[in-house]
Amino acid sequence: MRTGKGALLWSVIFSIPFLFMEVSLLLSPFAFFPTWLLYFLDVVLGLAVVFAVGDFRIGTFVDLTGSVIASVAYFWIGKLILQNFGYMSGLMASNVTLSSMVVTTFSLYLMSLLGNLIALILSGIA
Amino acid sequence: MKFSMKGTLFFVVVASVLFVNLAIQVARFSSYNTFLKQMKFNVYLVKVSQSSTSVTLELCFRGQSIDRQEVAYISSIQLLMEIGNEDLGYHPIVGSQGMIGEFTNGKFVAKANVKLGNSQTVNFRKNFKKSKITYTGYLEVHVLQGGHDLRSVPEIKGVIQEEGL
Repeated sequence: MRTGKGALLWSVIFSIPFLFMEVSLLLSPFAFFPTWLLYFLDVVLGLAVVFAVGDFRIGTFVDLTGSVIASVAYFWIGKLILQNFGYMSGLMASNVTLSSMVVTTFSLYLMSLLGNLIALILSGIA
Repeated sequence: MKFSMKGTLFFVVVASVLFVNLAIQVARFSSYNTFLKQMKFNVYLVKVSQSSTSVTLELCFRGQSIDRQEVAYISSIQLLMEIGNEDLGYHPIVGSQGMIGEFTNGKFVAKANVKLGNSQTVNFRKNFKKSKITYTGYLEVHVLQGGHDLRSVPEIKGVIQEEGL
């Protein structure tokens, strides 16, 4: 319980770049970075959060809660975009659906978890 | 919790790279939307060739948009015409090689011939020069952006203006 507040704060901080990734996958027809690069940066982000927090367990917790916070925000942003730009191409509309949101969030979470594990190994070596 | 400044800096750098990526995407997204919203489209009647059995109309389509896209083109136009509440038929217009014309410097110009059927010819001869030709149409607009072919089908409506008749 000692670190509860700090972990929650870090979850909110972590959810911001996580949301950036989700929204850029949502707007995939206008992609600038290719998808693989986005997932790679996600792994790096998971690694960075463990190094920033300085503890593997808290880092993993921050990852989990951060991705939940980001996916709730993403749901409302996606809804807003679909309502305001209803004539957008079907590709983007299909990115907004709930099922694809769950898949996107989950795969992004897995990637950042991989980053956490890499951080654990690196910190063990160093 | 051992808070590390170096690690935080690393985190901030990755986050800002992701932010720049998203900003570029949002800019592209809004430019595509303004392109479609600002697009104005007019249809002109340039020439009427009449034979004993049918009438062929030569139409000129002109579109423009303030927002410019690198590659934007129209692949087909579905046109429904009426003259003084009488039917002039449904005319799908498709270009060669899947393209009618391209937007160059924000402007689109294309010509197409529309041949009227029998009853439509009768309607046309009865009402031409007396009442206006109105149209409802659907454009198939393609914009190439970020390796994707974005297709949307905006509706157009209006009166066909006569030009040089």
